[in-house]
Amino acid sequence: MDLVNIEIVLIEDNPHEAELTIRSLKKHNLANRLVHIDDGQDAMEFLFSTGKYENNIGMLNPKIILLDLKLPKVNGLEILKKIREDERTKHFPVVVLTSSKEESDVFESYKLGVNSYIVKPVNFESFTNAVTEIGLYWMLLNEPPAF
Amino acid sequence: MVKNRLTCVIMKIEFKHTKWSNYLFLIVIAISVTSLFGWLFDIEAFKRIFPDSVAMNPLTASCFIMSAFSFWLLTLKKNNSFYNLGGHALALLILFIGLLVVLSNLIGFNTRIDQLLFSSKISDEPTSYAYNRMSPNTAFCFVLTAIELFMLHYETKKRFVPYQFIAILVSLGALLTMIGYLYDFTILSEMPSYVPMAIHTSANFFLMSVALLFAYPDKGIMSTYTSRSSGGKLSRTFLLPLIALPVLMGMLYNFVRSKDLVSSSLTTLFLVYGIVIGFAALIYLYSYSLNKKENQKRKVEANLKESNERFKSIFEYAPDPMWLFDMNSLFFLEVNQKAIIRYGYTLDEFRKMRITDIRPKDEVPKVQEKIEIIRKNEKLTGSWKHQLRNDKLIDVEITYHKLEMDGQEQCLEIAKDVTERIKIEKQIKELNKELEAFTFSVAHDLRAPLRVIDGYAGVLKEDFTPVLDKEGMRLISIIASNARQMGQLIDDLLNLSRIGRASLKYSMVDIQTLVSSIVDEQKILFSEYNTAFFIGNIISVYCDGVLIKSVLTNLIANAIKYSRNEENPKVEIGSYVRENEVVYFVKDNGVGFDMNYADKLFGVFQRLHKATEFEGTGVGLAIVQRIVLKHDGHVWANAIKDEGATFYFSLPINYKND
Repeated sequence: MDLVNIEIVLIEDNPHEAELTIRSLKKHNLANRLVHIDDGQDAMEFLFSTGKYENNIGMLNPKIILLDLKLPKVNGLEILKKIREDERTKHFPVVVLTSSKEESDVFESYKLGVNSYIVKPVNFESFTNAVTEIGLYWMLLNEPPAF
Repeated sequence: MVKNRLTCVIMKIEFKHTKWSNYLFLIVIAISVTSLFGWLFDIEAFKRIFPDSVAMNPLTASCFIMSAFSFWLLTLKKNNSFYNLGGHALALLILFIGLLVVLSNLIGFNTRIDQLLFSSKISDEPTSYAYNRMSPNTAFCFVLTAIELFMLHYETKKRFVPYQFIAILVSLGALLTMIGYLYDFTILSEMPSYVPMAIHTSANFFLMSVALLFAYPDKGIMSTYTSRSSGGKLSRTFLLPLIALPVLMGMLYNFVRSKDLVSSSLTTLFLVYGIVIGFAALIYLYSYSLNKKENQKRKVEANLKESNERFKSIFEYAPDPMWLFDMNSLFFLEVNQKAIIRYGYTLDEFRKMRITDIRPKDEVPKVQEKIEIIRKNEKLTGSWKHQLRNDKLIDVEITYHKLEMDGQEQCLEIAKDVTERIKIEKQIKELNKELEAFTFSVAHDLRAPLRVIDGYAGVLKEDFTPVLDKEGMRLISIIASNARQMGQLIDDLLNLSRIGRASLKYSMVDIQTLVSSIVDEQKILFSEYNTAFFIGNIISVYCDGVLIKSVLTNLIANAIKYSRNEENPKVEIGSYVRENEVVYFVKDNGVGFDMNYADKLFGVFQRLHKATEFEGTGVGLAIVQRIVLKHDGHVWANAIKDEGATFYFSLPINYKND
């Protein structure tokens, strides 16, 4: 897929949760331009055009980044921090989508400039609804900055 | 130093004797003025006390008055040369008069100086001209008095005060005359060529001598007499009886002799015998009281020694290192056993060290700062580090107390070793952090697979309905509902652990309003049950509002849940004050529970009803209990099976303000 056209970046290490998320988005045709990354370090390389993604420089402009906090190697909060520090990625909308209800996580995320913090419900219907609403809101309702 | 302070106190008491000097001089003046009045208005009784006895010459009376003023001028302002000059001028005048009269008597030339005042009256005296003149011994006594006044402030290098000897001499002379009058004044009147001293003149001389002696009660021989020690007491006790007893016995002797009842030798025997017995009795009484006092003193000393030793051992065997140090030099003065053991220095080494020697180098500059604080505030507490002999650093909690000893500023320092405690506190903090990390991973890692289970069950249900039969669909529902149940369990457990770690945020909480808002919320959530709510008077209290809301929500939701199958479900909420606490209760008319299992109500995962009857995780009441216990309150419940349950919890009225 062409990097320029990527609308959703899903950073989630659990393949089954990722599958359920993607399935919910697909139902509403929101997952056509989605890329799924299942590793923290991989996510860093992808977002900041290093390592195997060296050639991506300046091409990425997603409408939403769905970020899990607990990830292998590099955790979600570190990724969020880096996104907000880098000129190229500073303006990307980031939604934390996680199992953690810990106040410290919520507080830290907002301090780092997250756009939204969603706790994944265990209940399947609630989960599907939540993911769908996120997708609809950021993909259709929200107006991203033009480049 | 202590001795000095004591002397100072004694001096203060002794110095009050100088007041006596002033009083005595006032009496002298009173007698003299009375006599002058006698001359002025011709009142014989004022001039001479007994008819036909010797009168006080007006010049004599004037000399007494001058002596008194000379004394006051010399003592009131010792360093004022003007006063001194006045005092000495008066003394000089007295000396001049005295010498003139003495010399005129010696060479037999009448200067008539003593007739200057009321000269007509003195020469017109009907009885005997000689009785009104100033006698040569009076004049001599004035000469001596003038010398005393000149030498009043003089003290030899060996701390002799010469004027005192002269004063004693004068007083003894005056005393002799007075005793003479007492026994038989006719002896003196039998010598017409000799002018005797009047009785009130001799009394005046006696009083004046005593007054002059008390001008410096703490100096020379007077110091022995006025001393607070037993010697002083002895002389004070015996001086008066020593004079009075023989004099009285002498009077008795004279009386008996004059009646001629018994022989003279027998009377003399009785005189001597009486004096011996009188003094023996006096000495016995004095010794008795002295012994009593000394025994008491010895007892006090023994008590003092004992308490001294008791405090010494408290200091020595105290469980924490303690020492005394000098606040100026900072040297150690006394160090207890524990300090010697803990710090590794011997007592002798300690005494050569300053308190800065057991502080790490970088903390030494702060010591002086602390010393200043102790000087101002008397005491100080704090925690810092001490360095042992082996250079090891330990954490200590310090208490300082300023003491005044021997006029020096000393400080008692108690150093509680808290190294171990601080180490354990650190470990606890680390453990808490670990626990937090653990609960986080539980939250995340356990919830994720549950979501996947429920998710995939959901996918099966949605996408494979055509291939699954009714039984298949039921099984999938069971999988999904159990996954959700477990999700709820995990959430409740996390909640419970969060409450355990949270610190209470106290404020005055309006619980009446809180209950109303909870009831309103619950009414919406459980509108299908038609529960009737009765809210009584709810007392406000200091507590953590957020947590107490959770308590009340749990109890009210439970009450609704367990009464929902009744025909007319009722929930009542109220409160009352009991001793130092407020009791809140939530009462329902539901299924109740078996009181035999009441102790299990508040345990985690403990349920008294089957999940098929009433859903729930068994964590709610555990949360209630944990919150109430954190507030130092209590929880309990009463119930009758099938008639309802009442849950109570109490909160202290006087909250801990920490």
